[in-house]
Amino acid sequence: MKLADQYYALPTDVQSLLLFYNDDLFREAGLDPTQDFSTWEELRRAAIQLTERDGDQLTQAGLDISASPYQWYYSAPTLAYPDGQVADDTGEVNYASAPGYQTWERLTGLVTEDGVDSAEFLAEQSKFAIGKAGMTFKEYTFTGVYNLTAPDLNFSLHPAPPVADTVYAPVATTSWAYAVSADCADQSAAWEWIEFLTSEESQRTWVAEGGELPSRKALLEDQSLQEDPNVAAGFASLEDAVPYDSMGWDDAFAVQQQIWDEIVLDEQDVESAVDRGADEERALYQRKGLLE
Amino acid sequence: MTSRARVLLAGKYLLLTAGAIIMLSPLIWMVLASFKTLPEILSFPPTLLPEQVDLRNYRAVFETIDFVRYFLNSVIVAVLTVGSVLITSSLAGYAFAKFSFPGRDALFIVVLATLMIPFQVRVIPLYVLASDLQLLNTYGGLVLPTLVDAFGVFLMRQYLQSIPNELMESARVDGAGEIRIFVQIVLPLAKPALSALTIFTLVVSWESFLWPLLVACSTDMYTLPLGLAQFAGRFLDRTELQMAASTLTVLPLLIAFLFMQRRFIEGMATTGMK
Amino acid sequence: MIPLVAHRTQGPRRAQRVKGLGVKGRQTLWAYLFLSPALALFAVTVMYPMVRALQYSFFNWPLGGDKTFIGLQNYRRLLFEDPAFREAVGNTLYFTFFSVAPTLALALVVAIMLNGPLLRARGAFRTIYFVPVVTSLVAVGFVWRAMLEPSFGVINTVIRWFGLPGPGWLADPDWAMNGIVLMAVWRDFGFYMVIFLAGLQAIPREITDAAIVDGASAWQRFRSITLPLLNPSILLAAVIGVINGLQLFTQVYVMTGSAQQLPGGPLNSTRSAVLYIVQQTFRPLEMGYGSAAAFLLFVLIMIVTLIQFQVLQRKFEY
Repeated sequence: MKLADQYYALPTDVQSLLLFYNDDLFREAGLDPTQDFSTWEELRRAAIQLTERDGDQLTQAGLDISASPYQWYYSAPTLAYPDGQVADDTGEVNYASAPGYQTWERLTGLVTEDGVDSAEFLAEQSKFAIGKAGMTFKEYTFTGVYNLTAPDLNFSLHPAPPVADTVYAPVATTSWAYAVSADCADQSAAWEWIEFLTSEESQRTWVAEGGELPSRKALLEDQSLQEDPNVAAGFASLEDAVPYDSMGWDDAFAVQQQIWDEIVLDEQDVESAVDRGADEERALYQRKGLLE
Repeated sequence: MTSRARVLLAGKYLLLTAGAIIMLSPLIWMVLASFKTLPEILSFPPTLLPEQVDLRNYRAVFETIDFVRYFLNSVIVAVLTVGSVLITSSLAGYAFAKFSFPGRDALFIVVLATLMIPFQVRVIPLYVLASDLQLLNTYGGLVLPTLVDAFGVFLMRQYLQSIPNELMESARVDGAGEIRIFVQIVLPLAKPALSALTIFTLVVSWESFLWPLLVACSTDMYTLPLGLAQFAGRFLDRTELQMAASTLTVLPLLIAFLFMQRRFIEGMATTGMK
Repeated sequence: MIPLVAHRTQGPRRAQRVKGLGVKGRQTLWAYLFLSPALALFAVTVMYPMVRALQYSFFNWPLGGDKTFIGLQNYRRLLFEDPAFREAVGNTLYFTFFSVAPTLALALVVAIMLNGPLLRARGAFRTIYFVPVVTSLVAVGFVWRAMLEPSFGVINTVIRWFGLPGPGWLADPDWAMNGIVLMAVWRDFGFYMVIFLAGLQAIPREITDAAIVDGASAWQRFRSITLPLLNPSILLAAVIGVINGLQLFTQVYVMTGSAQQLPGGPLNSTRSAVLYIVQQTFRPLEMGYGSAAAFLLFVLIMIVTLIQFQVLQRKFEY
């Protein structure tokens, strides 16, 4: 983390947002789980194929998009703008314009038009983890989660196709970074801890057992860590990744969630919901002193 | 009894029994689900009985959270609260009931009026007060707002008014001190009201959620409702674990209730009846 | 019960001779002595916080930071510029009305049914109906949350048996509050039923018997005797129900909210006034706005309670 050319924090683990396939459900539907989708339309059609119903009730979601933290719709607009969805230098919110509207329309369309998932289907469960969804957008760390909680799940990681017609980067990433406060009583101990967390040894452990991507560039070259194709896919995704560039965390996510809910749960029109959300986010940044 | 009356009575029994089953069904479902696996709970058509009755969900609860500690915390908080409320209420109720002094009636009305003050008005300054007194994340902080209860004062006063004055007067004439009179004559006679107040305060204290949520910062000070909320929130998609934890939380008070149901219900009805 | 002891007072009234004070003074001293623990605690835990809250409400007061006096600005914002607060109050009123009114009506009906002279097992029914009242609110919140799950939950499964589509309950902004109402009705029903039952059993038999002899029908008896004599209980139950309802918090916190949603969703349809107060205070850690909102809620509670007293209280003559 850099402020005015000074480093204040070091990243410890990195996440990118990837598309998870349920390999078994893919094969059942006659799809090839080793293939990546190159266009949004391909993804959409596969999702429709993977959706199953009993009468008018969903029994299998084609794509689990309604229930996960850190949603894809937070980051897809980031990729559609050359300087991300929030301009770094001015704090101006970009996504209330053509490419932004398109990403929102396509993502919400999966639910509102194609019926590939529903907020009311398995509302409390993690659909993909229990094998009730053909695909899902998730952070890479869910490889670790699923290995622990859903050992029988056969899943594979893939880069997602671009959501908007033009994108400037293939995938967005986030990471945790550790900084030491000036008020810290024992600065050297704190920095030792950070050193430990970012050490090569720790990072190797995190990659091998925790489902995290390393923040040390050197480790990205290490082939021995990439024997698992899912890990390899995660590493590969970092090559041209850009950081998710919202200027907040829970507070910014709440705005995005509101946009999503308004469109999907309240049947609001996409453009006006996105406009309202962008205004909210602008107001948020103004309150935080990040935007004039 | 006419046959029409008989039919009506049978109809009543039927309705009441159906109602009873409906009332208990969420709890029955909870217990049954606590023994099931998640796929069983989610299966369609729904299953009634669990396939296997084993305690794996319960074991998971005990292994994940310090359930015993949370239970003890709730008990400690309840005991402290009930103790404080009983003492303050009986003392104050006695004063209002059996003494005449200037400002008595006005003061009593003021005390009663505080019943109308909803907790959320006091909660923010109480939080700041607890913070200033270094009581955050302590038992003292957890019981701070509930140490005195205007309702308890009211209840004790109403009840104690019915004690004949002669009892105290004659004791005074015999030279007994006021405190002795209170402890040896008044309190024993107040047992029914004290018992009702105990039950009422116990239930309210056990249920308390907002205040412990704000005050307990570290998990070792969590009360049972907090511990459950934290556990269930962590495992939102693991319904079977939630149901095991919920069953464990419901059990203590439920067992106490079943043993003392008459006292319980009459206590709550008495306190409700004014 | 209490044996009346006739005691002949003889000799000087020693017990009343405390130096300096007369009888009255002595009483006053002891009264205040007995009152002191309660009064001290009231002062610290009730009066002081109330005054402080009022004070906070006129400030912008970040916890541990510098406060700025802003007069009535918090109140103005809440009443005129904060649609979220109005929505929260609206949600709370909706909950209060729809959870109290049907519950009281149902409780009255069942209490009357249980009060019938020929009914045995009254105690058993009373106990069973009362069980939900003593269950942990948090625990049953999670149970109902699971039962209300729209696709596989028990409630919708039963609804679908009758051929009706199951609503989205807690996942649907139009139905979420109804789910919370349903849980509240289930849970509080027994409490009110017990109050009404006690009230019914306090009605002297002679009156109802006399009415039967006079030829009054069941409905007439209900209207002219039962209802008026039960009036204090009904008023009490309504007042308790409304005061509790307007302070709705725990159920919303437990039944809504997840990894991606703050409680009060979806789309803030279940955000109650108290939840709003907590969110406005303890997230930004600013004491003034929430205190003002708390006072406004207090005023609302007083107004509604007074209205209830006016509307529901009736004088009657035996």
